[in-house]
Amino acid sequence: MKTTVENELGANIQGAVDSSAILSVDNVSLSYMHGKESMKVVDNVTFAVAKNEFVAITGPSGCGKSSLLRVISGLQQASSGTIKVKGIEVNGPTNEVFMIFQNFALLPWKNVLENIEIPLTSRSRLTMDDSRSKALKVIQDVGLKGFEKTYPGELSGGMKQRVGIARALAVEPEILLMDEPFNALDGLTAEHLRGEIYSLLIGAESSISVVVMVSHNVDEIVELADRVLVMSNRPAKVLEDMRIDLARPRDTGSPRFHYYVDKIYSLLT
Amino acid sequence: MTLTRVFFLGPFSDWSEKFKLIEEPRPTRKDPIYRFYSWIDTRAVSKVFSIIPRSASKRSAPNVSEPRKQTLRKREPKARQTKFIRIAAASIGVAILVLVIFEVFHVLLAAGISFTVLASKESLVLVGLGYSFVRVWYVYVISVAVGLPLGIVIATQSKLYQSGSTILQIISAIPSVAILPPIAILAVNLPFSGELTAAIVIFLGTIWYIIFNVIAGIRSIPSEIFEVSKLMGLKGWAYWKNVLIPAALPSFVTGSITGVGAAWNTLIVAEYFSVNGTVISRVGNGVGVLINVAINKGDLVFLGLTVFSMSTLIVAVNLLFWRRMYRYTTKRFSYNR
Repeated sequence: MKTTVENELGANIQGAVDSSAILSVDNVSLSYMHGKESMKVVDNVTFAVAKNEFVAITGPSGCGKSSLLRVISGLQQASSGTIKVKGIEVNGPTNEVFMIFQNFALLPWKNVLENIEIPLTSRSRLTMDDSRSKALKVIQDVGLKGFEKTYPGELSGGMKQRVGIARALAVEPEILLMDEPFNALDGLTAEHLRGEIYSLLIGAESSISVVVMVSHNVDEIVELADRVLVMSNRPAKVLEDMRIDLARPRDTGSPRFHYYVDKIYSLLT
Repeated sequence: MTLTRVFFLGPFSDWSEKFKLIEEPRPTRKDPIYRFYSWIDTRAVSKVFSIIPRSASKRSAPNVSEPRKQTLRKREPKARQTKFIRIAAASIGVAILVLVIFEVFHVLLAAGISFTVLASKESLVLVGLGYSFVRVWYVYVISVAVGLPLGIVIATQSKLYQSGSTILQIISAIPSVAILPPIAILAVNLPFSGELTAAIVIFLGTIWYIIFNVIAGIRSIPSEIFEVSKLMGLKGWAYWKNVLIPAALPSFVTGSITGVGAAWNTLIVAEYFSVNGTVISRVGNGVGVLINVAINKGDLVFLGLTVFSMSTLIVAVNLLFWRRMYRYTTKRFSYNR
């Protein structure tokens, strides 16, 4: 752990570079030991995300984007480089960061309400009563009212992911990470949920100010993200850091939309 | 045996880990034990023995969605057909059983053994069986108290998993019955030496099934569950209570079914140990003692009664308790839904 003085210094220096960055990823590399050889999966990635920015990370399959997301979440330690949240270096899971998973990561033996309450009592340290009322509120927000006592196994994929979203909203993170959140859903369900998710996450009541989404669905990226980082083959490096300047709500049929889709495709191939 | 475990089964189980489905594992339906238990769970049997309550899955949740109900309805003609086959099979089974019992009594009565003799022998058997039943269960509870936490710890610590599972495989390869003589001799001067010897040997015959199954169960959980647990800030007892123990339950029940079976097997040997007619270690009462005494006396009727009563008890516990536990845990606690 760094001392407070060092942290403040770090924050000041960082502040000088980018005063509005909520999340900064500085020279992050990640290597795995594969037998006796070290295999690099993330290579010197640097980027910063400002308040109210929705960033998508894309790249070839298996390039290391999910690993990068796990480093940002603190679930995995970077081999080198630092992750800073509001200028303060983090070395593990923190209360500012939460994640939505590809396969929902719900506890099958807990019902919808319990799945959402668990992080509220254990992570946010709310009382039982506060957890209950908070959980009931987010359940209503994501449109799952009436399913409080239902178990995940009895829900459809789309509803399971709604529980995942509700759980993430409930713990009120500053930074939300999403690992291929629509990948396990069928096309129509994914489309529905994509249409709703932006206003859920970046709504007026939401605590979330930064979203980082890993995805390889280009349409999804152009529909949702303010900015896209296109990564190279493994080890993942940032090939291109591009803004998506489209007004919201986005018209998926517009020529500008297709312009961005084509551009990202050409970068990926 | 130990060498086989280390050089063949060990690498084999490591290799099998490669087939772990990280995305969405769904093993248990093809599990032979699941198949076996779903096979014996015939409604026909339930009808014949109407005391057997409906299993948990039949009391299906009210939340089954409408499309799912429709697919269930579509399957019905086939279900009716299999049901018919099952009723037929069960009826034949029951008929054969009744015939066999009838024939046994016929032979016994012809040999001049009266019902009163049989009844007095059976009452002795039932007392011994009661003792053994309690013995199996208290040893099982101890095995669970040790095996469940140990299995979870080994499975979740990857360093411990690599070294620990090999060590455990080596130890578990030693047949528990083989350590009966040294334990009996070591314990001979201790109070309750017979009970202690039996308990240790049964424990060593049971615990591996619990440990290895719990390890396998925890290792098959998708990594996302561990990740989200960290992000949810689950630590210590809350982590065990909400994630690890429920996650281990289905495979723990599978392990318990085999483990209790092994406990009964070991018990018969462990309760009574003699060399050249000299009894070195024995428990106060139990089926193991009864079987040995019956063999020594050459009382085949008594031996038959003991074995028959024990088997009936084991089968009844399997049907009434374990099968329902298995149904319940695979329904509520596994990912394959």
